[in-house]
Amino acid sequence: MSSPYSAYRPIIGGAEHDLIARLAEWLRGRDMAMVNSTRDGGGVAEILRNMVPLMNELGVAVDWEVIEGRPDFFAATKTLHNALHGRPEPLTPEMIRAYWEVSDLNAAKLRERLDKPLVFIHDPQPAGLLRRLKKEGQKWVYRCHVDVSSPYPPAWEFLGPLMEEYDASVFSHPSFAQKMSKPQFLIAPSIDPLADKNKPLPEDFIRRTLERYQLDPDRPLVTQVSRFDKLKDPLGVIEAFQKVKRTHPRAQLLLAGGAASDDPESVHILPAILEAAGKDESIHILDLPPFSDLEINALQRASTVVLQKSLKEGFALTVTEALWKERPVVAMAVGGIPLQVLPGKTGYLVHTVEGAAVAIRRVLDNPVEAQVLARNGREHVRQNFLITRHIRDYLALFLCVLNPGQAVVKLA
Amino acid sequence: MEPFTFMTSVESVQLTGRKAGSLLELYLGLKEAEGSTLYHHTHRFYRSYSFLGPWDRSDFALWTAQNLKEEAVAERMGSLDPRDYPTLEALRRSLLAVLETLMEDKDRWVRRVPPGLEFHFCRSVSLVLPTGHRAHNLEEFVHALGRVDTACLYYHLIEAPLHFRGPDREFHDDFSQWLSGQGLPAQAKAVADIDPYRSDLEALREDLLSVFHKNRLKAAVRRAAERLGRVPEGEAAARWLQRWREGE
Repeated sequence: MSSPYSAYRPIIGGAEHDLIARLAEWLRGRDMAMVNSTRDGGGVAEILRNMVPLMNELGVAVDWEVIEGRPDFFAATKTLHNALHGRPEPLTPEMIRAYWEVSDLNAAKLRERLDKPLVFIHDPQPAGLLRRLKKEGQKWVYRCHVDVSSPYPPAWEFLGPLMEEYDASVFSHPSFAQKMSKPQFLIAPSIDPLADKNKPLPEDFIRRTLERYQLDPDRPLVTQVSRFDKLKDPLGVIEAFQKVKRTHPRAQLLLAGGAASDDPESVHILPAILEAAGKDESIHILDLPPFSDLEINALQRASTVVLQKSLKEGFALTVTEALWKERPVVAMAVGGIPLQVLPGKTGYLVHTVEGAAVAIRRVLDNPVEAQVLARNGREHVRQNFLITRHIRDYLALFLCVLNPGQAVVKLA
Repeated sequence: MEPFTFMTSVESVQLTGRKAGSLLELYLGLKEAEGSTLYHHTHRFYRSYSFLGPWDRSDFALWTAQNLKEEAVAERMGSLDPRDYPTLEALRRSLLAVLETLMEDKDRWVRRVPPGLEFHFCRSVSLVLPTGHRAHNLEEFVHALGRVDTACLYYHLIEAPLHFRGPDREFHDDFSQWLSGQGLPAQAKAVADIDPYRSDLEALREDLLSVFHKNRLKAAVRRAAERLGRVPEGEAAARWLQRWREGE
């Protein structure tokens, strides 16, 4: 259940709260649809779950549609996802056929529901709907949540021409920009400070959560929360932790993850993680089911250090969540992470397993310094990465798309 | 006399797809950039105050210092005072002139940053909308000034003069121009003398109000409470201040 818009006023201030409401008034009567590939699991679904009700409350009529897939379709889109991140994984003709067959099935199902002035497509899975459904006068916007700064060329040859057919595209980081004729917008994702994942929790709930998962509240806790995925480098996390343990033998590691319904690869990586952890009792692997938001919230709040050892990232909302909770963060300088973790100001930015280990030790040895950075991190998120700023940016984007080619759009 | 309509603006950031990896490429990019690109990279810091410090005032300077490690050139670019440049073209010429001082040093001129640390040129699109506040006289003007969002102050003092105003106006900013038209030349000049490029738009509001209220003690109290709000212990004070300002 999402919070009413008024609940955000004490967090963002009255002026910003009112400005967003006024901006929304200019989009009343312009129905729109958001489309993605899962209702649960992953950052996109999380954002939409909280954002769509808020936008409707603001008077902007938004429907959230989810495409349906089959295993061969999701295997194809996972390959495409990895290849867009730069991994040399080719799309086979069978994968491309599965992609378009499922796009056709979804187009037939969603034809009437996507007959709206604005259609907003999230990520490659539903991107093909445009070729089947876009009508004259409609505006279609593509929201790219993945790091496409150095894609595997065949993957871009597949997706790039499709993106060119959209009226605009949206990226999370300037380095993801492409050579395209259509406008490209820069919009960072966000977290909802009032959602179960981020709201303040009672201390006893946090303690009980630790006990439930056999974690010792009196020992330092290093945590990475991420779906089990090679790109999140869980094996690198274990390697870094083992280096930390040489000087901090009481430390515990928590790898908390789960699978999303559109990610068939995640079930295969878990055995490899368990093997790497071996019999080390200080390493805890939690395979959390969807909708474990309160537990994740508690585990993040209980962490001494939050690690994000990703090899590639779109934005890394898990970093945003940790910063919002004033946790010291050690994270790799990939994707949108450097926008959040400003070295020496809001956290520790690293490039290697060795660097991660050194930074974790530094946090454990200098808790006062780490706490100052963590406080800065919360304020950085408050100013830049909350859902209200995200809504404001989307409203502005829609108004720009409806008024194309202008450096100044006068709404008076 | 026309009433004053308080407008505000929201910025949408677009990516141009152009990037620079050396001083040479930064120079060429700056030379060929649209005005909206130059505006974005030199003004985005003023629109919203950052708790991270008052010194970051130009993306060009920041990138040159952090990624190219050319601190002296970066300092000179960052120290250009926007008030000295009534047009973006004039600011562009000065930025280019600073870079040109290194043009003859070929090694430094073409030295590249590591992959992934390039400068990405963006551009701003402004959405301008009414705040709902209008003033027919000085009393209404001052009343609204205390209530509009800070983006409104930014718009009338910085953005609109740069984008829309011709050189034939008596005053650069919208507020002074309207006050002058109301037969209030002293207040118009006092507002025009305030530096709008200060780090904190809330502090700028207090300076504007103090022109009319002459109540500097009140302004100082408010400023102190604002500063308290920048540390977590002061959040409660900041919330109180917000409610007080909104008249709750």
